[in-house]
Amino acid sequence: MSVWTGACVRISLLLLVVCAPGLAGAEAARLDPARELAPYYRVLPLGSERWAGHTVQRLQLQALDHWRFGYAVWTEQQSGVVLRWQMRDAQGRVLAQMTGSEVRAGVARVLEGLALWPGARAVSPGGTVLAPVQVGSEGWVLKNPVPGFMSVRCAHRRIGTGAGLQWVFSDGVAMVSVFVERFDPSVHADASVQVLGGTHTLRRRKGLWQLSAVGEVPLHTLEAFLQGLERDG
Amino acid sequence: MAEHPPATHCVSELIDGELPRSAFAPALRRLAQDAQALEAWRIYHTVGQVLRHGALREDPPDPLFVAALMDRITQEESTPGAAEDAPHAIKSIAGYAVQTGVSRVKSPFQQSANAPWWGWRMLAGWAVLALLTALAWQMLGGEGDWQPALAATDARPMLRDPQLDALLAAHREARAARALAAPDPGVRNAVFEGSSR
Repeated sequence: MSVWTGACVRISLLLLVVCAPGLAGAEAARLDPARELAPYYRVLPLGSERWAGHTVQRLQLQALDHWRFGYAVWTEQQSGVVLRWQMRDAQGRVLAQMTGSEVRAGVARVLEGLALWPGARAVSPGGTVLAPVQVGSEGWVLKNPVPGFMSVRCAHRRIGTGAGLQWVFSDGVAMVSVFVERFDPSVHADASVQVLGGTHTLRRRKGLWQLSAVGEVPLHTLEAFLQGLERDG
Repeated sequence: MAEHPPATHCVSELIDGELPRSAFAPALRRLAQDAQALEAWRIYHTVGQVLRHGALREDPPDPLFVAALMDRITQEESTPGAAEDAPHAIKSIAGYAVQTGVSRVKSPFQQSANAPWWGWRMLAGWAVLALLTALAWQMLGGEGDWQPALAATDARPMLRDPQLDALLAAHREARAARALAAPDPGVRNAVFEGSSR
């Protein structure tokens, strides 16, 4: 059952989309362990409970290796809509979380919810110019892939005042963007690390290039991405 | 010359348990000697009883409790620093307790929920108000991440970094595009910004 065709969306789902888009896919699949989550996450049903007036199923997405974070997920029992989730590190500390309380019907409610969310804006289709490219045609290759992360798309795009390559990877829940730009000393620092909740950013200079990795994964996962990225030929 | 606080003030603090330890003995002494203070004591307890029960309770005191209390008072050794007059004051207070039925020491929380006691409704009202305030705070002032439960990462304020903002925006857009790769074309490429940067 797809959440979109199931017509059960509401404000909180927007946050889910923002913070853990892979979970939206997982939600559509009703977190079926036989699907894309199975090799890298263990789905543990923890029973049902009441949350914000709804009967919810509590699930734990336990990361099976150190390359990704785990999640606690609360899904509305009938629709499967995720009402609440938490991103947790290996020690069980909550890095980021989303909590919603309303389940409304109709996709129109999504846009209505957007207007309510502080700072929210909707970009119309085509608002961002992306130029998809074939992986490898730009002369970059990920020689040492990170277990579980598959290439989702690769495209040229504007990055701030400049332009560069964005290569997106996902393991079905977490997502990592790897950016490649020409190094510009007026814009780029040689190396930096930022942590915003569960979102980590790692930037590093590599010769004439500035490599950056952003994702809801541990810092060493981003490090592995940048280490594995090499100029081909 | 230092002025003594009003008798009612001391009694109020004594009843509320807010009296400093050093002021406890003088307060008891004053309660024993000052008719105005003792009257304030009675009035405050009467007010408290009305607030807790909605009316003055005329139930007779529990004789076993009163007997045990008086025995304990009799046997109690006066602690150093406590006023010699303290037993007298305590007896006065205990006597009043006997008169007014305070000795029943029945907690208001032992009332059944449907008892005609308006304090329950007041408590429920405060609870609802607190809940609504918390929800309003999160809806109006909060961001995507709920801070109270989050693990401490880096509390230092971050300087604006346009390049970092651009990377995060591009990453968010990629996440949204993937999540919204759905049948409905109207929301397929929606981008939602809710983080603190």
